Amino acid sequence: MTVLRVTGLWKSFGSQSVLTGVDLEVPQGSLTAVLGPSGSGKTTLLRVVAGFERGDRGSVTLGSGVVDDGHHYVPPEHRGIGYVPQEGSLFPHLTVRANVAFGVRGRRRRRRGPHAPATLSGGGGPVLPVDDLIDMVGLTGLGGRYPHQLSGGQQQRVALARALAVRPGLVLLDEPFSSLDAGLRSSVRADVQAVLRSRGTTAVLVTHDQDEALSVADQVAVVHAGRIDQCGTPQELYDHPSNPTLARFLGDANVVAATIQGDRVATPFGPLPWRVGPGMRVPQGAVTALVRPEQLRVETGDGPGMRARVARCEFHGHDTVVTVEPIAPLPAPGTPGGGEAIVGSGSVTVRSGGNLVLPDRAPVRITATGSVLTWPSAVRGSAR
Amino acid sequence: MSRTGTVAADGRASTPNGDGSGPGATRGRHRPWVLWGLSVAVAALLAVPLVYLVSEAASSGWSVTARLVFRSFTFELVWNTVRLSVAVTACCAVVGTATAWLIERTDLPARRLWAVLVVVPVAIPDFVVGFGWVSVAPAVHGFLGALLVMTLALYPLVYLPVAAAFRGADPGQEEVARSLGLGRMATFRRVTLDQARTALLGGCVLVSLALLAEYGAFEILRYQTLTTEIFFESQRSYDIPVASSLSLILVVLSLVVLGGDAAARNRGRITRSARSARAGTLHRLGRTAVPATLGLVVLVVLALGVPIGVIAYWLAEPGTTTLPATTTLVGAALTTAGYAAGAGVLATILALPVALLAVRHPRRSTRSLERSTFIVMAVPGLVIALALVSFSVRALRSFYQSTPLLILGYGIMFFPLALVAVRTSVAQAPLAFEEVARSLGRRPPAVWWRIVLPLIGPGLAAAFSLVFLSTVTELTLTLVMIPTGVQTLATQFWAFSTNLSYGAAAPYAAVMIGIAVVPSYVLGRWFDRLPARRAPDPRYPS
Repeated sequence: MTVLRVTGLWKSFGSQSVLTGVDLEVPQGSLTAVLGPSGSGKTTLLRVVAGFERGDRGSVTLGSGVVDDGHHYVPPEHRGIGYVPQEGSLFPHLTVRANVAFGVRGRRRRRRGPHAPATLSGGGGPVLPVDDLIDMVGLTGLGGRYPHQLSGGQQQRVALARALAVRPGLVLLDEPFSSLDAGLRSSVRADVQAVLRSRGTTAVLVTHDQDEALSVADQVAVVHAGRIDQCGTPQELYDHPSNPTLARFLGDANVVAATIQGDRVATPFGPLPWRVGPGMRVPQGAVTALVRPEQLRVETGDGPGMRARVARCEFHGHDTVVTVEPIAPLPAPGTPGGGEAIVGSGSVTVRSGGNLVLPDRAPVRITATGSVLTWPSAVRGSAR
Repeated sequence: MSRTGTVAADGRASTPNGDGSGPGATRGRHRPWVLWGLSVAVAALLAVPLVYLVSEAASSGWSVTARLVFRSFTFELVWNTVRLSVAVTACCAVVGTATAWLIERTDLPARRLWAVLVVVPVAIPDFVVGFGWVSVAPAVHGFLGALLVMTLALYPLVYLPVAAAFRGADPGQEEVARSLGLGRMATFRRVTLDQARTALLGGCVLVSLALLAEYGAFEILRYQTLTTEIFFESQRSYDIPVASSLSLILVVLSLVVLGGDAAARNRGRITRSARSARAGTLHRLGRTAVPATLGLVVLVVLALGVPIGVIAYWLAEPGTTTLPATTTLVGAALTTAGYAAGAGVLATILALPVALLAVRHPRRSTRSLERSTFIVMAVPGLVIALALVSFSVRALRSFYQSTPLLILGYGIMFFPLALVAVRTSVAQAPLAFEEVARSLGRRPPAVWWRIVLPLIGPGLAAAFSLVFLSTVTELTLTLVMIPTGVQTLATQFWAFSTNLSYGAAAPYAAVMIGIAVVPSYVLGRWFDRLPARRAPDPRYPS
């Protein structure tokens, strides 16, 4: 069942178009990440879904009810959604307990549902007393505190508990982890994910952090320039991005010119098995290929592979990222891998496990394993 | 061509700051028509006195106005006014800054006590300070007398903002200056003073404007300024053309002060790289603590001891008066409190739409509208009173000398005070809170009641108290606009003291100061609490 369906949504502020035809479906119980760079319109999309903004064209459907289609508009308080803003926005004059109980109606708060009749309701797990919600987000005993007495991570947990207290059919999270520092971010993120999973709550998470999107979500929708560029599971997106730009946005990528030779594709690193994205035709002739840094290996001495020199060597602890520059002889222009064999900066990135110390300008060989994704070579022009 | 081509093209067209504005700012880009309408109406109301002045000058003919303006007597008045303004402002700047530095930046003994004592004079009306000095030393009059009395009455207006600036300044800057080889004096001159510059400037503007508008103290001290002459011409000679042409000069002088302030502010802004919660190291006074303490003792005795002592003395003396009793102490106190409450409510209500518009919809147009309302600061209460009285005579006869018109006068006069406090409080309740509350199923009225009002309530109370306090001690506008036969504490005190019935006047001054002290205490508490709520509590590390 689909909890949220956005169809052909347009939104502009003055002369500036922010959403230009967004289509998105969010299945029940999933955690969907809406991933995009700042300015891509992802926050605006979330705010239209929440009802804080109204779309210009297109429609937003929650469950079976249309909440915004240009004629009908259901205000936020009647939508049955939970909202966790970027800074948490806890009500500063209320305690943690009062914040969590805010949306719960009546004197006997633990038994009742949300205050106003909502389009989506009764979703997301059993009705819990406020204190149990506070326990669930790991803040046992802090119910009497005021927001200013909490750390940033604790505030975000309270904001989540507050949103879940009304048993929303859909929770919207607007970059909820971006204001936390790196160490705290991953732990709060994992806890939030666990809470949402355990209650089976459908959630949409807006983020600009591809790492966060890939690691947390069941489904990732990449927003670019006001529309959804590609939508799928994290694995689908990482392995089969629809174009080189997207490939680079989702992680480090080497985009190279290559030529199909039967069941192999000739790349600067040697012949490799190829694959194509779903719905793409079987490639022929000149193509553009994606080789992820973790598919490459740095070797020394004689043998197959691309000859290169070390340009930079960055040690990250868990791995080492080596940047190399290819050296002649590369295949001549016009032949596979000739000319702009390496699309973009002209250098190749290799991710190598463990510590690898290589002097600058050291001559190395780069070999590859696994299969490479190929696009028709016309796609190459758009790579940046 | 595949669709990736379009992505690249769109990518170049997209802008980096499309979504994500600041957490407090508005994102709903709809036009707030209702707020706009209300704010424009408020701005129009505030413009009434200025419009009156200009239309008055135009109706009596610019040549007549020019003849009245360019008289030698007028030049004498302007000279009196300007030289006193400059002298008092300079003295207040020195006294206020020195006091603030001693109390905030040195290890002076009993600093907390001094911090209270040097501020209390702000609750004593200028004309009461003048009364105190004249009844103790009749020699205090003329230019030097006015300089002494007004400095003692107004220096807290410099002390308060400068002390706050010293408290909030980054102590690292002084340390860096010392490490770069600057001595103590050079550091004070080039770094410390510079940190307080904006605050000092703001304080000096307040002093100059208060001085230009002052009537009562100068009347007692027999020092003639533009304001005393305007009062005389309008209330005794009933010569409205002269009064309004002099008012025009007074307003122009005030506008020059305001304009100079704005120009100076734009030249340099204080930049602070990071908000530092660390308190600076206090300068060690050593033996200098003795003369410093003596200086503060003298200041407090002169500014606080003399007026309070005189009032106490006359309270003990049997009050004899030849004036017929028109009101009782309780009656005058109740009338005053009623007027002050009405003024507080009205000014706060007037300020609310302007503050909401400026804070929640920050655009150039809304900022200009907000700034335009501050022009009222350049219009002395006496001029506001003349304008409203004249309008009521012509257009709203039934409101002539009525309570609603008086309250309206207070509301206009103290609007800038209310706006400052309301603006601060509205910023405490960003739109994000309302959005969250609505997403939790609450309808807009409930959201206002449970979220917005509790958050902005303390600030609204502060605005109310500020205006209440100022109204209780207001004399000039009240003298002109008060309904016939009614007396406030200030006007009754004025009637007795100008009749030299000091014993009868003293209780009214005592009650007036008593009433004014309570809201100033509440206010002090509120302004102290503001930063604490924002800053994370160090006791609960993340």
